[in-house]
Amino acid sequence: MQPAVEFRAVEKHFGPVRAVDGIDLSLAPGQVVAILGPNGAGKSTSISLMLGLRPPTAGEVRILGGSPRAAATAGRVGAMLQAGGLPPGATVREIVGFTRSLYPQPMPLAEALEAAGCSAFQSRRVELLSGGEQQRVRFARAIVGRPELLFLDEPTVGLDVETRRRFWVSLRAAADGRRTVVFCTHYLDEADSEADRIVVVQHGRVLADGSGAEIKAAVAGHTVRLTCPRDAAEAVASLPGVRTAEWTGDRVALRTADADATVRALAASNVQWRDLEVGGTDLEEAFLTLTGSGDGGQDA
Amino acid sequence: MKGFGAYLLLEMRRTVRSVQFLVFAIGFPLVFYLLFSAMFGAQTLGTVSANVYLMVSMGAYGAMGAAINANSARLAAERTTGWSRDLRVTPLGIGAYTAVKTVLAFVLALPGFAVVAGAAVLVHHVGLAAATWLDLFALMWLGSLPFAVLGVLLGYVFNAESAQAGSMIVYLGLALLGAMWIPIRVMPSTLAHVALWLPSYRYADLGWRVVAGQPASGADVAILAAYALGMAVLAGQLYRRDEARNYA
Repeated sequence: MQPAVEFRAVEKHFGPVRAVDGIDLSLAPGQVVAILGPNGAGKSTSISLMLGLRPPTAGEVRILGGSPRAAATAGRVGAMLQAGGLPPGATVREIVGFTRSLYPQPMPLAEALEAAGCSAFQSRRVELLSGGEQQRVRFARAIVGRPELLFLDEPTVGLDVETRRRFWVSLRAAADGRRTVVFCTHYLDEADSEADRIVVVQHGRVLADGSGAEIKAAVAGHTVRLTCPRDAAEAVASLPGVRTAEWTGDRVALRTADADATVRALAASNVQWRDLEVGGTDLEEAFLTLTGSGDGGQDA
Repeated sequence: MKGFGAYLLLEMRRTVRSVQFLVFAIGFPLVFYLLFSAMFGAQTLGTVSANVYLMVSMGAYGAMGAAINANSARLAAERTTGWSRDLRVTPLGIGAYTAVKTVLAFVLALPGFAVVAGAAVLVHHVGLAAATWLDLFALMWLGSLPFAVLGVLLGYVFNAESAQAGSMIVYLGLALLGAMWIPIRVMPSTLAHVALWLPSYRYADLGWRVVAGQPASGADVAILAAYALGMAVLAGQLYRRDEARNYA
């Protein structure tokens, strides 16, 4: 089956800055994919490459088997980009209706407005709406054309918890398990709970790629805590599997990719340790470890 | 270009709801016309009654205001807010945006002139031969094209912050120096020479000649065409600069 999105050795430079620095990626149709990373990681740049808003400096971007521009012109993609300004003076209904008229096989206008939660204020002018309401209008614009591929760049940024929850409910309904959805976020819980697949990016590269569970399992799977003299710092930090060591007094938390190997080596060493604890890690810890390792030059 | 008409319709609705647009394209020209004609209406300029002369001046001022203000600041703002970017990822495509904007300004210039002409007929019972009205409307409409281009150009010259003030200075400057408010024969001679090279003067002169029964001036047409072409080329360059910054 043809990938919905395909990156082959894609780079995007802005002067000396490598916003995307060699990404290979293939996203299967029907998946909900999160691109997760801190600000400046290259998420938005990747989305603009997928939409054909910018050409790559090197490599190739293919969308639904063709060029990004061809996919957009054919009405096969929908997008909700950051800071998408709605034009003042037009009503919600006019804007969504106009967008609808551009696509070959759109959904009925009322259905799009309902799905995005805009029905109640469809006759109002967009400049009079709240931020959350405007966000819903932009979502209605993104889905009204029934695109095969939906791009959402930080779709819930600035929304309160309840509005965020409602947004994801309506997205799942609109995607109905058949559309491919690619969204950027720096909310870890959002990526974990909403996406089938998470692509973690940092400094324009892919650091990890898999389901939420896989990422948690693969990276910094556990934290080993123990108490020992500070002069053993070098010894514990160099135990097998250890990625980071954080000291609080004489207590240290070791983030490790392989807790078994770390503990076995610790037992065999002559470090004077006590109060050993081994715990799992949540995605947030995995993410911090990942993006931290991106700075520290360790393998990723 | 799928959606051209639908987008034009959306833009027209938005524009005619804008208070700023209505004030500058309709309100000011109408009020100035009523004011100036009340003050000077009894006079004549050559063979033309001041009521008719001022109808052309203020009608041209209104059409120019409509054509410029339909875009300029609005276009500059839309480049910043992301609306024009959001349109690019729809099937509407890249070219349609500025094309719609230019056509929009051109279409809205007509009511800019018509409102003042309507006031002249209703208030001062200005009557012209049917053929003269037809010539007048045709020339005042076609002649507004350079200002439609200018509105788009200003939208690329200025950014969202500077566009409001910047385009207002250009617009009022063109009206004042282009002899729309003061007849060229009473302007100081230096300014009168400047006026001769401005599109605003040449535009109004198209109409003044029609109502005076004079033949159209080749210089008027040539200068307006040169402005339209030159500004279109400049707008094209600024458009490409914008592309290179934001979409490359």
